[in-house]
Amino acid sequence: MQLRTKITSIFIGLTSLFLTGIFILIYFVSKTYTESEFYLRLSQRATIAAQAYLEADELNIDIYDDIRILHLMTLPNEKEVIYRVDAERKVALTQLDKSLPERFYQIIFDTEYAELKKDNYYYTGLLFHDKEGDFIVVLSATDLYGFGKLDNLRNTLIVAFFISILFIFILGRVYATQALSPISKIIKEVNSIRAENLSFRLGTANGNDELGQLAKTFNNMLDRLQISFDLQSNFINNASHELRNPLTAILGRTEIALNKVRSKEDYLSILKNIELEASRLDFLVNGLLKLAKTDFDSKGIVIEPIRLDELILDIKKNIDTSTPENEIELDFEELPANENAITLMGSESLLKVAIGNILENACKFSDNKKVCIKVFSDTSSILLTIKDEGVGIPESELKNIYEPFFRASNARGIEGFGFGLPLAYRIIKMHSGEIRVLSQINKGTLVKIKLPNKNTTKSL
Amino acid sequence: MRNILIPTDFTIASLQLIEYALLNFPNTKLNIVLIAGFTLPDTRWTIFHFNEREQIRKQISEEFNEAKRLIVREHKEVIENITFQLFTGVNSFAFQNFLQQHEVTDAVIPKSNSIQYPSRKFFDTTKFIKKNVKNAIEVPVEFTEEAPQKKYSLISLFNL
Repeated sequence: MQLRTKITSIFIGLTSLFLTGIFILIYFVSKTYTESEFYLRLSQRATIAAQAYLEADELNIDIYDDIRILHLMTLPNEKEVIYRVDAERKVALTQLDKSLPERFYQIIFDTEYAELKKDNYYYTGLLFHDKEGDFIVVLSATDLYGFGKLDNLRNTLIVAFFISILFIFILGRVYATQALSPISKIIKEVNSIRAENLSFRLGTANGNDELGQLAKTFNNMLDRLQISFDLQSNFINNASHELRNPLTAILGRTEIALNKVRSKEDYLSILKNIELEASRLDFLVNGLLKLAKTDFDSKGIVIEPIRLDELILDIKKNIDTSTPENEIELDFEELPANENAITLMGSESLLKVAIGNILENACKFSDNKKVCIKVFSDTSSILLTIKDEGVGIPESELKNIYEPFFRASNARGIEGFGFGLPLAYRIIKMHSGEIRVLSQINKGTLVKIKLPNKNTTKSL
Repeated sequence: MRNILIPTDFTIASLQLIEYALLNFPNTKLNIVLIAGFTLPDTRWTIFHFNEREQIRKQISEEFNEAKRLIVREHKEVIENITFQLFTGVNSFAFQNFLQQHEVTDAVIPKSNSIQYPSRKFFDTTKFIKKNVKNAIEVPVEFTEEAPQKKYSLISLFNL
């Protein structure tokens, strides 16, 4: 069953249950009210009848009856019977109507008033005391108007019930379709994603409701997938490129050597060169093997707990050896006491590349002016701020900085390939982190990185 | 020490302006004045019971406070203080008085017209700042955060 039909039917089921309850309540309340109103009228008529009977000796009974029938409304099928009784001993002195149950008379003797409904007739009985003795007045009538009204009410309610069910069905169906349309859109969009268009992102990712979050989750997943994809392919590209250089050199040398017969010295120097290139090759292959061991294990990237402050100290040491004139200032003043708050789960070598790239950029683009790096944390994340006083990034180009090979217009004189920040961005995204760059041209740049700490992520 | 005027609409995104202020005035102690325009109520009773602090407090969410605290922690060495002020005037003269009172000479404002208030009582002071503050720096802040939905609007229910 489609979700849409399911939602609609549940909706209809619930509302019809609710409506039925309400309508039944309305019907029965009206019915009780009509009946009690009719009993009241019956008892009033009974009182009048009793008075007419009692005062028969004092008044002209015919005139009284005339007035009663003409001016006081008679009820439909009204019938009055008067029985002489002895209230003390609770027995009738005349023959009682046997069609009414004994219990009815018993109640009249006990409480001086009783009500009864038999078939379509309503009965009220009243007990009167008079100087001529006690007697019971039993008045019966049918409530034709009341029945008519109740029938009408019942029919109206039934019709209203079916009409509202119809409307609820239509509305529920429309609403369910509308509510689920983003889902079908997401399904369509996700289905169109293939390995060759991994950079495609769902367009429904705005909004804070559940569907927006679902789309965001998909987008994040796609981010991570794309990054892993790119990393793998870049790795192969770079590796083969690096491997080819020494190989070409070796091939060139051997070709020269084999060209013609040469002196012993020439052979020696050529062999030395070949040895040099071969050892470079060996070094590279060893490095690659190591990288493969640490980074791309059989399962993929190695995820381990990393202390971010130690990682930064390591990076600083590396930069110190490559550019000794750097002025990186570490600010660990706000470091939390709790070790978990500064530890995150991730790949050490990848994070080293990411943060190292950003720090190197900060030094490079500020001409080795002061670069401030600050680490602190809140309950769920580690925050890293890198602030430099360099050339800055023009505001129109700020949105392009994560594109590979993009270089800002004011960075032409500074060497680089435009590969550092995109890589850093992807690595940080891969660790479910966030990176934000704020920049003012010729004033400086502020890079803010937020990474989830070990408390929030147990695994990547 | 410098007093920097920054317009705010009490969203976390608007706090980015503070970071731009820090970038623009490096190595200077900053006293940040967050400003929002406020139309004074028009009945005597409400003017009599008008309380600036109370109005500001009502607008500030817990997340906003948390984000503000984080920024202060992050830049403890340069941020001296962050205060909120309501500008209740209607014209530039009033605004110049306000500037004198708070000894403000610099301001950081968003380039695009992105300040939006949830309540109609508040108004954007950016154009006053642009006109009256000598050194008003425009920065390209993108308020990516969605405009807050009106709390009790039925439209949000049907707008799936």
